[in-house]
Amino acid sequence: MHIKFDAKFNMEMVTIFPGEYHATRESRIIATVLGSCIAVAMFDPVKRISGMNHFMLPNTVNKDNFFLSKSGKYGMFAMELLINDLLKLGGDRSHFKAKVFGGGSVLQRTEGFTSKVPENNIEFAFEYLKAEKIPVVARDVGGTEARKVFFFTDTAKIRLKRIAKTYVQPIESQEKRYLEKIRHRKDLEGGEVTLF
Amino acid sequence: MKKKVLIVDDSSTLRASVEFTLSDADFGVLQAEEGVAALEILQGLGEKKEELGMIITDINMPKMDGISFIKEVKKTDFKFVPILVLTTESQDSKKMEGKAAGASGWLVKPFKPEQLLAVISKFLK
Repeated sequence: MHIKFDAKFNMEMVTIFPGEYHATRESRIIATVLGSCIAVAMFDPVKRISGMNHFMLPNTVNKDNFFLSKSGKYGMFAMELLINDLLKLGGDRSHFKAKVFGGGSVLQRTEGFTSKVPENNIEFAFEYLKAEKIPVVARDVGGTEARKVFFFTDTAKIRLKRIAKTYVQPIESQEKRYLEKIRHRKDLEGGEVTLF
Repeated sequence: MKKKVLIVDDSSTLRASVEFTLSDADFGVLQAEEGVAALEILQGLGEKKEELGMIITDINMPKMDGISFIKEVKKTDFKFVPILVLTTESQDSKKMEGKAAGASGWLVKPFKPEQLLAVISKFLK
């Protein structure tokens, strides 16, 4: 995550990278670049609290197993980190709305990668939000292009730029590194237990 | 007698995932979205109160959070029922708050089914 002042919008811009998330009550831009990953922008329009995450499932998951499999649990974890921060900032779950982006067929040259992977990530995001009864009010998913998403936290508006294929290579390498990391991540094996 | 476990978490997918793990191990499961609803379930158990073997609770929840819920449980007839916190929160200061409120254990999400079952069987012994 890095923060800089954006002169064009006269606002602070927080850029998040794969596996990260950010939630705030300030007027800010949360930006991220998506290839095959998913970003969910979530907000409470009443309390004006907004946040966004950026994640991918480590492996393809059968739809019936979304909330039971290890990979699905990683996705739930990514969603829950964001939701918990929104709640901690005073957000009310019953107000939450979501916008979903990404899942392009970008990670083409990665081992074990088929067009099913981004589809599976998209499907996971929608199934999760449906099960949690969080309405999806905007989406821009699938296709073959990468995207840059700018989320304006004060208005919950989105600006989306499509990224031409020639510029996709660094995005692909970044997501590939992320995927390798989460596939081998120890905490996927279960978090820490403390008995008092 | 089949022991029951009460799961308190505002995420329905998390409750479903815990219920799946527990029903596989033949535990009965009760669910609540947050502390206030969970306390109502406890009150409603009446004569079946002996069946409740354990409570699993999240920390960040609407209406009544996990720490306040644990404190409330400790004021009821269920004060000896072990409470496991299952949360994304991993800071030691939060854990100490949970311990002070009366929690018996703390498991950081995402959880592994075998790990959850191991902790439960330890408490239900």
